[in-house]
Amino acid sequence: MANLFRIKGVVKMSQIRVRMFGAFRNLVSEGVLQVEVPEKLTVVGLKILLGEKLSTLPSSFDVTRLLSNSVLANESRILPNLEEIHNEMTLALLPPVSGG
Amino acid sequence: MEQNIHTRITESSIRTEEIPSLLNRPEHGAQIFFFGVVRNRNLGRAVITVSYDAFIPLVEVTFKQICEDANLKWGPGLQLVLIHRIGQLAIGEVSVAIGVGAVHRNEAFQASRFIIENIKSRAPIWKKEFYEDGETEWLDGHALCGHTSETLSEELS
Repeated sequence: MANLFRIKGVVKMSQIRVRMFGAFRNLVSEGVLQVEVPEKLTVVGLKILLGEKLSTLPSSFDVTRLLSNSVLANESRILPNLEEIHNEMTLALLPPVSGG
Repeated sequence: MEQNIHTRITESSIRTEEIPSLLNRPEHGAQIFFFGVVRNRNLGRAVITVSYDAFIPLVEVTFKQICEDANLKWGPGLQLVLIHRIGQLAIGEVSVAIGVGAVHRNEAFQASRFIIENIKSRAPIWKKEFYEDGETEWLDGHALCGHTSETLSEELS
């Protein structure tokens, strides 16, 4: 991915990709949402930002409620709420699971 | 421990007849097999097919963690097979297959139960049901919470 890091005033912004799964998948094109985030944004901050974006989209379910029960992860682990988001990260938004 | 664990996530039909050959330790006196199968009704609604979505890289990590946790709890020396199907499945098809080889039946039964319950609560997999009336629904599930092998070790100590 191209380096999209840039300066807006004094706040550095970066672009990350969030892959959507389960009920979230069909909310956005190809199940991926591009989000511009400020430097040092935490996981919980990103969830708030995602809530603002996703709740404006047409949906057959309560996006805010599902988001509150969801977690963000990378390819190897679930990220704790206070972890900082880094530039060019690709994350996944994981609603409650129902495998088996 | 790794060589005693076989995990896979697949879009192809699960060939259950091949699983016993993956459990082949002469010191094991018990082999348990569990197959989850797509059924035709759920909560009073007629189901015609289901679809599984998965975050595959994290599923692979989680499956290995679950198996290692089972071995920590009921091993050492368990031989474990865990295969999960994704994509569209018809009624009667196997969605998940678990095989456990152990010295005795008690640890084999318990490890098998532990693995299926942990798949349901820890693996990033989602099931969507398609109903006879044309409606569809993602099933309610378990919220993930970052369970780790370390937390299991603490619980056991």
